[in-house]
Amino acid sequence: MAEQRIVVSGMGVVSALGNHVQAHLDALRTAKHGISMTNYLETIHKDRFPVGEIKHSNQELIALLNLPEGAYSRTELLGLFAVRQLLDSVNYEMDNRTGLISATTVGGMDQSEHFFEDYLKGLNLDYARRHPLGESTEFMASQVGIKAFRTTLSTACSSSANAMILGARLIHQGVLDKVIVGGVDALSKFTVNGFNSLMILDKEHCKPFDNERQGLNLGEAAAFLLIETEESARKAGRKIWSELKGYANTNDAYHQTASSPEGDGAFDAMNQALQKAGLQMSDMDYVNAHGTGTANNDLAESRALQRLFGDDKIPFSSTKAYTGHTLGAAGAIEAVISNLCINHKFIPASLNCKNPMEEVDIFPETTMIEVEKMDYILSNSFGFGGNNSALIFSSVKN
Amino acid sequence: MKKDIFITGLGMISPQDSLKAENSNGFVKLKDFHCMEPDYKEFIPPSKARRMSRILKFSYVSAKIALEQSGLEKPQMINVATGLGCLKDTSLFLQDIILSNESVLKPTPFINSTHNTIAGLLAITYQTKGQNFTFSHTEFNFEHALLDSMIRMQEDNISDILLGGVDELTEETALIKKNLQMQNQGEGAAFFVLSENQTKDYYAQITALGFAYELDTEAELNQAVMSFLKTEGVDPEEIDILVSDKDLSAVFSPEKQIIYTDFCGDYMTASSFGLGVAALEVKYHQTPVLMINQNNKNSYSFVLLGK
Repeated sequence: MAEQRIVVSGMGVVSALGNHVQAHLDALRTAKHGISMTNYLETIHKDRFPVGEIKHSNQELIALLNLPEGAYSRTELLGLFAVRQLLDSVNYEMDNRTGLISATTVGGMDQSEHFFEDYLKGLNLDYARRHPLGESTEFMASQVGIKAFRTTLSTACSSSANAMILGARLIHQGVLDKVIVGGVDALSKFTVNGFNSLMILDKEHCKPFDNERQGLNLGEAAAFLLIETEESARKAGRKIWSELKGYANTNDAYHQTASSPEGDGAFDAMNQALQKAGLQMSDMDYVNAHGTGTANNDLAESRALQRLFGDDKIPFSSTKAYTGHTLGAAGAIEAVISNLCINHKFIPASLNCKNPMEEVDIFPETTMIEVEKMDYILSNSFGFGGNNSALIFSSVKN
Repeated sequence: MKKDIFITGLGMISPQDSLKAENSNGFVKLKDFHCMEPDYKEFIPPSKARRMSRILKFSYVSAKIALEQSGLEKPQMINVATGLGCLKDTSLFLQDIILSNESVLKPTPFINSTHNTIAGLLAITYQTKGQNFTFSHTEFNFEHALLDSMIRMQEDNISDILLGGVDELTEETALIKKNLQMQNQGEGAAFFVLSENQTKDYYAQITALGFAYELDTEAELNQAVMSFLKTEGVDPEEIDILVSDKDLSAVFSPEKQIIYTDFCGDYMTASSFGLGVAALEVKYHQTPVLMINQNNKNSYSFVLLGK
């Protein structure tokens, strides 16, 4: 029996580019980024490192979500915002065969760090409940009425790509019929200082794949997608954005934070995702690269891409300069972007990239291009712990 | 065609003398649930040990024992579950941020604070280039890692998986225990090698895994257990041993009931220790075992093991 096709049939997203899917489409088509100095994050680095910040305070988010006053982490608020938006956009009626798989790297860290000194004194312990990563998932699930399967993955910056992979697997196995998959991370002092301690934050707007790149800009986002079988989506009359045609997760097995020099794990992830899809790299119309802007990632990824491209010129770009690197949400927000590219037939520009990298012969697209054909997109998400994921989306006639 | 899934290796660091236990007969009820830690020098080269936090040492040693028992040098993929992850390093880095007013920061605690540091370390150690997932949910995260492992073995060409659950007690967990709804906090690491091929000394076969949600009464739970067993074609009379996190004698009472949290305390991945106890029971008594876990609400997981 042939495997059922798994399709994307709904999307919800909030990032520095805006509060809904259309805002992301508009920004990408007009090459408008969301990077700025922070308005809401309390850190001594606020005038030093630009970030991709969502332009709402927690109080505003609580009001927008119609929630009672209370102790919420920004992660919970952003996650619920995107999940609700997704469900509202498809008029979803919740049932007990729908699961939620979220991904996050630091969960409710914005609250943990704010109240950390208090915890140590035994005060304000209510906020501590929000520290475990699963709590934001449980919060979203309870708010939208998911009472059955929900879980949380945390594999650093590939987390939400892996949420999509797990979701597809659970549908194939009949564990669930429909799954809301995605990820969320809020900006925090913890991550700003963490990436700063590694000396990989750019003091200016990041320049993925540029020879002079100086590092990444952190961002915050929540992005969730509804996946289900094609049959189920058609029966419900939902718009089908794409088919999730291939996927793979591999490990570089090289270093906790650095990619192997030749990007072996990245190569394996892309290669295995292509095999799973029954496709070749030459079939791809666009690659949405991980492209963070760090020296190490962009070199390793470029080498892996070059090996897979061979003599073909496959268009690729990084969208990190629009949203910032949104960590646990990156895989899902780039899945949303890939779905926009497939449905609106365009390739987003890699911003700020001027000088080709010395070590490789490939160069990203640096202006937005409208294309005739956009049938296959490969999207990369790589993370600490040597974690590498690749997803392949293909166009579907509605 | 359904593949058989055997537990061919098991390594547990827990509050019990469990690292190389051959059965659970010596496990005793405790009040303090800090792990009995081995002499790490026997297991970890000093150059590596220096850079490892306590939770990494738990995991490294448990995984090593599990792999040695199974005779496997290199698992094809790794799934790890952890509720709170590398909390100690998270806390160290937060303290550093506060004490240095965000200025002098060593990256090591940040790197080691990432939840998937554990699975990443194991991938580097064993050069496992396949899937490397870390599940970090509050409830059932170990069962979700097990579910994914079972699916991978059925769906794909995977014959061996390293699977583990790990959490540690720290000053922070002690402080927030009321908020974690865990009065008898415990800790531990339990790592398993799952294999499609049985070995001479294998522990048990994992026959089935199921979940049931929103069960409000004992009658509903009993019905769910019966229906799970029926689906698997098992007569409830065949089950002589129940391993569970709470006392379920009112729901299902075979000859022997083991409440494993008496041995290891409560923590978000305690069910990995529970599965270890269940595997030891199958091996020692050569009889099927049912494991039932309840989350803090009203959902349950069921694991069926046999010889």
